[in-house]
Amino acid sequence: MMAEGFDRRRRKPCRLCENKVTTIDYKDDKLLRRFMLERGKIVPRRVTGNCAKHQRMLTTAIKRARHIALLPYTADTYR
Amino acid sequence: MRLYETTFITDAQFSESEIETEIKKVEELITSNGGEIIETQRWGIRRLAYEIKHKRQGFYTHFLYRASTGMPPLIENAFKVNERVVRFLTVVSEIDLEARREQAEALAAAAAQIIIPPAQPTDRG
Repeated sequence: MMAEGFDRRRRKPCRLCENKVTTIDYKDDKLLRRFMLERGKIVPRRVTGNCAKHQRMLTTAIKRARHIALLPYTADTYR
Repeated sequence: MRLYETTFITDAQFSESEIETEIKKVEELITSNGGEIIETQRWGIRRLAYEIKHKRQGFYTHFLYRASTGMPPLIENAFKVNERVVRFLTVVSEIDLEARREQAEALAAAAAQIIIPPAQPTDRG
């Protein structure tokens, strides 16, 4: 059974669904930072286990926060 | 009528009274065009996450208001010609006025449950 190993891989639950998150505020930069790597990258879904809907909400919020300089695009800007 | 949020950043080097006049200008622009301001938040001087126009700090002000759909372009045009404004952002607000706190807490709880493995040294970022 070749496919079994793949099928059996456990899907991570979406923690945002579990906690009933319906809106994500772009102004909460401290919280959004927890979904970013130190370099300023957004942590991929494959790592966090977020569902598509919540990941989309997160990325929009992070991108908005980046525009008004609450969050960095990269960690390199200050040297 | 829709619920909007506008944040704008002014140069932190201006005096408090100068920034205050800028805030007043925006508020007047909203109310004189049939909008209703729900909340004006002064976040004060904050460090910018990256340099904008060679500045590292800015004074943040945030408005929550109800206005017609013609309002955002009006405000944005005013910001564009105003040299004291460093950056601005207007969005259709998704804020649930009653459940603001709970939503932030729910997101915090979710964040606490997610473990992000440290970045690999080979990762170019």
